[in-house]
Amino acid sequence: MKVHDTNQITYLHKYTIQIPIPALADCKISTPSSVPSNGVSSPTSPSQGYSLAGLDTQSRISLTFDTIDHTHLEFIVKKASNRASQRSQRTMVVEFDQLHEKSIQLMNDRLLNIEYRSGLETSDLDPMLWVQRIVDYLWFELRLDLVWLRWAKYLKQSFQTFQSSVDKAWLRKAMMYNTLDSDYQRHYVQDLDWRFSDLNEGYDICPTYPSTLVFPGNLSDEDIRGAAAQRSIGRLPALVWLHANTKAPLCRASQPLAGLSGTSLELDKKMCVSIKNSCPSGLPLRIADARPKLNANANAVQGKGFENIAFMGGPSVASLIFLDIENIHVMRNSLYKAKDGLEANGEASSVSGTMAAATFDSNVNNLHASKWSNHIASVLRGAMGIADSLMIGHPVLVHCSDGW
Amino acid sequence: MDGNSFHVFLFYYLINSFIFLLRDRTAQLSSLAQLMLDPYYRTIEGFLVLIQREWCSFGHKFEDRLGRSGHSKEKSPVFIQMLDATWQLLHQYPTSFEFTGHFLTILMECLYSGFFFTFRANCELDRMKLQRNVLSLNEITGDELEYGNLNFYIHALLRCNNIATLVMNANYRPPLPHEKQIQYLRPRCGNVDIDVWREGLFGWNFNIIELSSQAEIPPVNVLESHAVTNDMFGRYDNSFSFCYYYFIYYFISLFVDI
Repeated sequence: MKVHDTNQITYLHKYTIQIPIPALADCKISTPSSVPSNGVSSPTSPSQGYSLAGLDTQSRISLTFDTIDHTHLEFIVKKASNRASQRSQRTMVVEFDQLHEKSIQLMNDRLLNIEYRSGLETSDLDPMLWVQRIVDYLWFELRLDLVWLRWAKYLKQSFQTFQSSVDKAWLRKAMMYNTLDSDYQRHYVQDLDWRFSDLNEGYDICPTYPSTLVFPGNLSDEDIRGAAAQRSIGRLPALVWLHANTKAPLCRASQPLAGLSGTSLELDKKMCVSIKNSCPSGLPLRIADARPKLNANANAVQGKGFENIAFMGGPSVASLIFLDIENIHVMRNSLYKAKDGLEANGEASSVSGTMAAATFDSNVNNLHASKWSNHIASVLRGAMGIADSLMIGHPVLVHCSDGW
Repeated sequence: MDGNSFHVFLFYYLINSFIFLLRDRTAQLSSLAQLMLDPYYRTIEGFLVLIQREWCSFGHKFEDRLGRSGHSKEKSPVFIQMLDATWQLLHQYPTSFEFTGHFLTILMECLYSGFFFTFRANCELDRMKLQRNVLSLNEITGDELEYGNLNFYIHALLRCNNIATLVMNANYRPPLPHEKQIQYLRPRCGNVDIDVWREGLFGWNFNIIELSSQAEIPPVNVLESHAVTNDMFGRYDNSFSFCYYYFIYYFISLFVDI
């Protein structure tokens, strides 16, 4: 085990987290136990090995970490106060298996951002808890990496045992995960009135969209850029699927920035009309809005909302349907309600480790009372409406609020 | 601030806080519509492609919806609902899917594991950044296998005979030549027609429990018992996943001595 002196610690300011300490009447002292008796360093539990003795209101606790060599990572918990004589520090060392130098470097890069995720912004004022939480979090992260590494090594060994050198077709198939372009080509999109576009290659038109998108062929790049500006978060209509027989396209988008009138969206209208014209059936575009109409109106007050059909060109060009599906908070509360029912029933089940049949019946009743199945049914009904429209030959544009 | 503008402010505030947040339906609806129409997406390969395009590429907020980003208001079982609806389709049309319900449950376990980049990050751009920052196992192990890739993991599972017999549907009827492109499943979807997805919502060993419900002391499988004691969100948040539980369990005990 290597122990740093104060000069070395100040040199390592790059990784230091400063924690203010409130007034404390008395602070429990945990004895350090990280020094092994035989002098050989061993994996150490991080929640032991530091103490918080003699803290006053002006002092701060700093947590420092650095690599000692390629196989060790060291945490230093340091108490800094105004008086230099009261400075004290505790160190702990985590030992790794033999890792690459590069992996340690990568791990250090990750640790730079760790203070934002470690619960420092909570209102919990106990410094002991704070330090413990940070150290536990670091330990958890490192442990995950170790587990993952071990798992990968184990998998690799097991693959080498059963994979034959003759048949590696499955491996090639498994590695070929980016098959989206070929999936579009499966529907012969390139032979129809659609074009592949890499306008979003730098993710500047819409940061939450993929880099390759499919648009109607008659639109120029400027049109597409303008149409993206007229949708919420830039999520403009893009093709996802094409009906093989009727050639009716299925597109998705977010809500338009329509406002209450919705008559200023020229490029968005051009986009929708060209989607409609790309379908050989000539049927009007069906815009499926997943929200209830009440919520869509509330969004329209905020300058977003839904498409103006009269501005699009009347019912011969487009029609608007509201699918009346509840929002994500209703879904979450529905699942929580079912979970509460389970907890109320389940003491006996947690003792025996399994669930009795009567308990299961009441669990199912609770699930029905939480209307989970009703929500599933409404989602299925909405999807079936879209599928019906595509079977008839209507082009369909699906959107809700943000279209995630 | 006069009274009128205060009312406008209050109105906007209320709308912002209660009504405005409503999302995530687009991916559900479009992917389910494609599942109903296109038989390719009912194969294992096609289902993975569908998830890759509709959910990962087009930016479903996995990190927020699974509750990993710390905002409890953003947490919501949207992807679970899609898996549940897929299971309803599978339940009503048992011969038209290449996979069984176990496959959906495995996907659900993978979803909450955090091991797969497919279910991390909020959009494709974030996922690329994350993959750049996180330890790359290819660089460490020096081979071409990609361990954080869900597609790779599923294919590796299918190589094991025991798991393949669980996951592949024995009753699968591949589409005939004239319905290779379009084969429309039109499910019954009244509220009564929706069955409970027991495996996904109540845990893996439910079939075991059903068989042994008459016995006085039901058999306890130690390795699976965590799936019943912690239900719903809690079970997935707090415990490691079932499908690689066997892989990891031994190695955790080697390294962790807290």
